[in-house]
Amino acid sequence: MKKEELTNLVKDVVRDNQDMSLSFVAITVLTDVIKRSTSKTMMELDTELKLAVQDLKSCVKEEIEGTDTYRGSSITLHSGCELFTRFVTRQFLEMKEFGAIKSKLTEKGQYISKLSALSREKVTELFEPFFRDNMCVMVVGNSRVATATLIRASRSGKRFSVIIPESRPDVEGYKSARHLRDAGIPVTLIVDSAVAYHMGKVDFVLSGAEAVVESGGIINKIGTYQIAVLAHVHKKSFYVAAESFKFVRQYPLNQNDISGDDHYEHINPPPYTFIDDGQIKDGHDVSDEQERRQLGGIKVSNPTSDFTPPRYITLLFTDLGILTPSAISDELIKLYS
Amino acid sequence: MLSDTVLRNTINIFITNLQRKQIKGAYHIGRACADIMRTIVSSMTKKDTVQQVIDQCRLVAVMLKQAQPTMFVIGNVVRRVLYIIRDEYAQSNSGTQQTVSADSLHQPNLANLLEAKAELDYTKPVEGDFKANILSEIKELISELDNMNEGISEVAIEHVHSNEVILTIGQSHTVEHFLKVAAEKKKKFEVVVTEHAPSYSGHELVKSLSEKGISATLISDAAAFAIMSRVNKVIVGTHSVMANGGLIAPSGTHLVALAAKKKSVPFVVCCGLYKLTPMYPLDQDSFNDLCNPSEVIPPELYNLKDAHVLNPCYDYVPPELIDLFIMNETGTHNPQYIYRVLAEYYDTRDYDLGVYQD
Amino acid sequence: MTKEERKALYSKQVDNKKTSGNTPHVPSTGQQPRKQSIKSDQAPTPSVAQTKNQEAKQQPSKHQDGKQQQPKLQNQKQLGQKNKVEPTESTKQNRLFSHLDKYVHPDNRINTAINDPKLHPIIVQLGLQYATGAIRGGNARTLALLIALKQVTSDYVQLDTEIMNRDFGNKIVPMIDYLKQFRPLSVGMGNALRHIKQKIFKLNPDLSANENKNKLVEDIDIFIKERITVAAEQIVNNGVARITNGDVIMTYARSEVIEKILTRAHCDGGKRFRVIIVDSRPKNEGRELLNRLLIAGVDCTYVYINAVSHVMKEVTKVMIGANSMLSNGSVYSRIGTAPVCMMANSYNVPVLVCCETYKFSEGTQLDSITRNELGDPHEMCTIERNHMKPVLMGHESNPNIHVLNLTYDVTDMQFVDMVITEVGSIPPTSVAVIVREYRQK
Repeated sequence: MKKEELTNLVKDVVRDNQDMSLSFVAITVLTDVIKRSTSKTMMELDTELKLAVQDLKSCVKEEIEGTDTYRGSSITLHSGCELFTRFVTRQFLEMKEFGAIKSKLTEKGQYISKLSALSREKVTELFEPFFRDNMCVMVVGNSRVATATLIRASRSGKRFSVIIPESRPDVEGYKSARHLRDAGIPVTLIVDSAVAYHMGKVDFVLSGAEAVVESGGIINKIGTYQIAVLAHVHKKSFYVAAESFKFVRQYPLNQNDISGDDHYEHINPPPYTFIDDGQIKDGHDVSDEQERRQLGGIKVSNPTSDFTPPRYITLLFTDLGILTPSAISDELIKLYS
Repeated sequence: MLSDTVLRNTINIFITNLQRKQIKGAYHIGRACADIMRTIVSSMTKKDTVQQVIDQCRLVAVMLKQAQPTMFVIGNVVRRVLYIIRDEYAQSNSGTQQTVSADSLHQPNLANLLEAKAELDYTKPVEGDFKANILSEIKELISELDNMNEGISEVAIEHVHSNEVILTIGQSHTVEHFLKVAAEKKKKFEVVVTEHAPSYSGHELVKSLSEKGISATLISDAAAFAIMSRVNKVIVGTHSVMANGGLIAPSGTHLVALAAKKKSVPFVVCCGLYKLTPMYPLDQDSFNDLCNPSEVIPPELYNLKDAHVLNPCYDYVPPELIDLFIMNETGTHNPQYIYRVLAEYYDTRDYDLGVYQD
Repeated sequence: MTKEERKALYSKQVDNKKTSGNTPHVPSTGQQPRKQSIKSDQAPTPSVAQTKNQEAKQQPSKHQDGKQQQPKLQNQKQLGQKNKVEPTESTKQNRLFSHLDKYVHPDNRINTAINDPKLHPIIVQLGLQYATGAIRGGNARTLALLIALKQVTSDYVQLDTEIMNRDFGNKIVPMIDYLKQFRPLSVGMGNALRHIKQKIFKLNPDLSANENKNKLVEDIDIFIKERITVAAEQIVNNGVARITNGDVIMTYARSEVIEKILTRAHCDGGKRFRVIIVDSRPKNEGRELLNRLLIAGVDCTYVYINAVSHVMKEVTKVMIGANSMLSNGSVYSRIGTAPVCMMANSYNVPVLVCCETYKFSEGTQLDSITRNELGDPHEMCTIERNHMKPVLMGHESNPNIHVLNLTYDVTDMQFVDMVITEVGSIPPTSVAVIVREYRQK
């Protein structure tokens, strides 16, 4: 499939499925690639698939990144591609007949496109019994799964309040707070530096994840690591809600291990934004000329993701069930063996 | 399949005893449960489908759990039986005799995530051997329950050396059995027992151990921290083990576990596999119960009758305080491995046994 | 000690008792009594004969008669030793605690003391009060001791041949030794005694006996007032100020100072708070505190120590008293305090210790075993639940059963957030500073 065709396809999928995770966008697109493929042998199909994955990654980098729906990290994309490639490889091994593979995959297409929402459903369902009345929950960043969990619990009648750090520099926490407010949940917005101050009154911390790594740790929006450490010090539980397709077979040991690698490079970190009069302003809009000139000469480090080691994570809620960090490796071993 | 009336007659007496707490002790309750399951399976005829048997087992579990909600062994034994049934059915259905690993067939899995899961249809009729196989497996389960303490003692013996000082809390029959076996094997060690007010079960244990020639010292619960610097190991029993590796244990265990952690003393838990429960506790209030307050302040003290007295039955001990689990079938492992044991003995579909609808 | 050695010792002691009959055995060598007061003057060596002993016993002369010293001193020596001849208490010892003194029932010690001319009757009475627990708790014991000493001072008659500052000092020694038999001196008592001894030593020999006596009584009064009474007042005020509305305060067993703080805060301070009293066997001291707080109208919850982790999540502060503060910042207090503080620390609940400076000690202790006090094992064996049999009664005959009734434990400095004293609130790290300051005074 040619690059432009792929790009259009990607844009179509993204437009039609606003709520879908980047992983599943990848899987849907790749399923389509296979459907429309004209290859006649398995080797050919394999090569085509590899090429498509590369094109997909670069296309996402150029076109999709920085828009309102997707943040600057390609790791979710990567895990989705990995998962699909593995799946296809296994089909190759199990079914000897080439034609059967294509027809099976096209069958699955429908199922796969619904899987994203289904997985999220399962996660939110698992989390419900953990809410009690009058709890205070801290939410990290703007995770669709975490927000869905809270909304579902609130709809089932549990009364609780939420504290959200605003999650600079792109103020994602603020966006999340708006969703929750619209769902009728009492929300308090705080600055990122005030997390330790408020940690005493929190009952537990809920986070999403961009990726879950082999050791059971997570890679997520910058700021997650420090909130996890604070929760640990205050003896509060740190729960992660993540669908299983976010599991990746990587094993970072510290923050350095998640950058510099091809998969996780920080793509176009967003500009320095701030809230002024209730409006989110871009760094370039700084009206005061003097102020802007002063920023020049000062280096700005603005990583988009960080790595949280498993010892700070209490439990992970996935569509495969509630897992302790040590169980993640088990799942990955099963996948790759 | 047992008819409704027969079923109710079988379990009514048991339910009443449970409600009045006239039957006590996890082992006795678990055993009785296993017997009831065996009755249900034995009554299965050619006309019954496996789904019906499964449903009846689950119904019984729900009714019994309602009688004593904190007795997790009821649900656990039923889950074991259901796992046996499902496993046997899956094997007979797949035709091959390969040892079907639990995960790849029943449990949701990352590997089969993208494949639409084909649910096993339990309403198909069964072959001849099915019932007999299941009954023999249930018989094995019952013998496992009966010989649980022996199994644990065999493994635990390796962890006791000469001239050690072992601390235990109150009287756990599993630990008592294990200590006596160790003494028979001529190991010389000392046992320190906390008396575990207000049940005072520690006194019984001290007397019982001394009769076997084991040197036993009784201390009050408050002294557990003071003496911890001279203790080599803490070995305790528990009420149940939860899915995250934590414990629901007799009240006072959390205090001792924390003290052991501070002094870097290994904290070992001995219990039967049937106490493993696929539920997650949140905090000290999860799955807890309150005992009789007059055990703490006797009612003869009239001047104190306006006080608010609390006597919780259980403590939640988080998994990071525990160093080792010793169980009868699975041997020794650490709390982080518990999820694996769960997956091998229970089916995820049975984690939630349902709510009783009258 | 193996079983054989133990048996040999036991039979030797039984033989000893048979041969010595009712006259206690006096050693010919200068075997010192086990416990000596720290700055004791040199005790004259016993120039011994057993006949003299018999004489001494038959003379109920008052202690003021200095010439009766020597034979009485022998009596003192006997009392100073442990009563090893009595087989009613078990001679077996848990090897972990063999370095601590065994618990001996007070009846065994009191017999020879009553007519001892060396001891002022008020001291004899005090010893009994200590032994039976009629006077219990750091402040109470120290106060009783000082009041008794005031009485002893007033009754002192100085002979022409003696100088008060040396003679009186010597007279006090046997009394203190006698008291020590019943219960070891607490740090506070030790510090008070040292202070008094210094005052005695500084008495001017040129003044008359009456003037010296009055001065000494005044000194004791000042000590009581400054370091105990007024100090307690200060601490109570400080403590009340720390309590805010809506607090849930946890306390352990019964501390006099904490009781005062809580009643004062409720009645006079008008603060709204509730109290959780944690108690433990076998002493159940918390019940007395519960009773008094209920009478004062405070909202109280009572639990045993096993329930601590269950109630800790509601607690906002833990307030405890102390027997003494050690120089390394640790708290030496009633057994059970350490686990409560440890649990509070793990829930991030602040721990406040209220302690007067006269209880601050120069010594340190790393764990609870090095120095401790063993209580009556019988207390442990009695169970107050009606339908339960006390299975361990008569356990003395069984060599495999040991019953340990520890009295104190040491709470590590890391679990303590603040120490409230009369000189203000200090961090536990500054305890050594206070000790140094007072030493220089």
